[in-house]
Amino acid sequence: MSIKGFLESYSLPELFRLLDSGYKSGRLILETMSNFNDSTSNFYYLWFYKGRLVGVTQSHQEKRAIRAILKNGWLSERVIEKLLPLCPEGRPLGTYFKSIGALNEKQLNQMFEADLQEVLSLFELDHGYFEFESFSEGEQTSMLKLMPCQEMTGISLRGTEVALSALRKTKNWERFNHQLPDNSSGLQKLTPKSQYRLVYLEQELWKYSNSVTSIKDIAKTLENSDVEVKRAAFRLMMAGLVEEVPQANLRPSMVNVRPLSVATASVTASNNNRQTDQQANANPSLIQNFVNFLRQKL
Amino acid sequence: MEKLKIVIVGPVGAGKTTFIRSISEVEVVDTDRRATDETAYLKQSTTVAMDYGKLTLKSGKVLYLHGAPGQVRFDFMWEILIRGVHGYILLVDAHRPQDFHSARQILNFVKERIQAPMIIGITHTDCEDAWDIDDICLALGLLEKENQPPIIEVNPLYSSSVARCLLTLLEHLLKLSTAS
Repeated sequence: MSIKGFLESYSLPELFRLLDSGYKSGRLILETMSNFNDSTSNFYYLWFYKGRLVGVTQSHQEKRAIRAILKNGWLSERVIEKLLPLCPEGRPLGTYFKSIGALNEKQLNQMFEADLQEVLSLFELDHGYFEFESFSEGEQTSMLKLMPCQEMTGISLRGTEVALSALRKTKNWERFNHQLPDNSSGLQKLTPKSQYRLVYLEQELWKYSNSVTSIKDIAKTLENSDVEVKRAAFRLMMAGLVEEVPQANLRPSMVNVRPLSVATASVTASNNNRQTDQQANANPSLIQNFVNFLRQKL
Repeated sequence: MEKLKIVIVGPVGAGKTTFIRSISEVEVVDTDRRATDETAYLKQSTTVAMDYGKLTLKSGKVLYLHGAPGQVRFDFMWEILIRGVHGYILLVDAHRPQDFHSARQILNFVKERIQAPMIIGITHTDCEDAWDIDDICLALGLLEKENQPPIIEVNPLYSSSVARCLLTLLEHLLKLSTAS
């Protein structure tokens, strides 16, 4: 059982957020088709190390990194041929070339940026099939040896940061419309401070992420359109910074049986201030009676 | 009369109505109506109000089961549903990643609005394209294992499986009530 499905069912931003939050290492295979009638597929292999994007390879495009170096005229083919066998196993080519002074940081950044642009373009796809091949725990120690090190610069970016960048860039929001938060929803911070540099609207939205102010009210306060605020909210959600809380205006916490049993990653203390108007304390002996009753049904 | 109230929540098609039907001692009050929107692609009918079933002990004490509408519209129905609830079960279909977003919304809603114990029941785990439970937890935003609620595989078609799921919730409730 692996992480797999169609992009129509589980979007790439969601997938990148999941891989990031799970500190996943492995290969994300993305099979793309320009449309359903098109029988030709392209395979992209997106490589992740502990939730960070470390490289991209393609089925029909081998030695991307080396071709990029040659194309930019940074090194000759002869020099590359001599250096490659010296690159230690499990070490990204970029890191090694930089360590011996063959390439500089700016050049590596340029190479990674080209890879990143390729990945960002994949977020525009309407159709596609994905499958994530996870490196098992046993392989964790030698994980880098499983990576295509000769295609890697040594630079990496968190999955959620890639998703945030892609969503800032996209013009095609139709694919994400059904995932945008509702006007009546509020936003809840998942972290006390954003680790990413936010654009103005995202910053403003971040300030109002208190789980009780609805998106509609935030949009009104910020004098912005509902749709723009919802898109910015979705970006923050996919960046792993906030969660959508449906029905922000609904009277909260009507019931208080026991402390929440689920993860409350919330950093807001909103719950603490809520009054409960009805206690639903269950009698332990009653619960025990039903436990005994259900055991007989097993 | 002492009673327990359990609410079953989850996206459309997760198996909430079947879950209640499998174990209820009374004919489940059927509030399903012919689906007319996007839900129709998934099932012919969908729950528009709330399903209701019950289990009664010889002493007359009752456990009520309520099924929440699966569509992501949080309206007045929730006010009624969550009033006096003792615990709830979130059902998630392991082989429908398109529903994970909706399940996450529901989870966030109940986490934030209802302070009652919960467990997660994962259905359709025997399907070929089912996701691992650990990955489903990530998709639901449950990142820290130590803070996760109890998670159990359940087949809503079988009363013994449903009984096991309810038992897990009640044992969880019992544990919390004796701990406090």
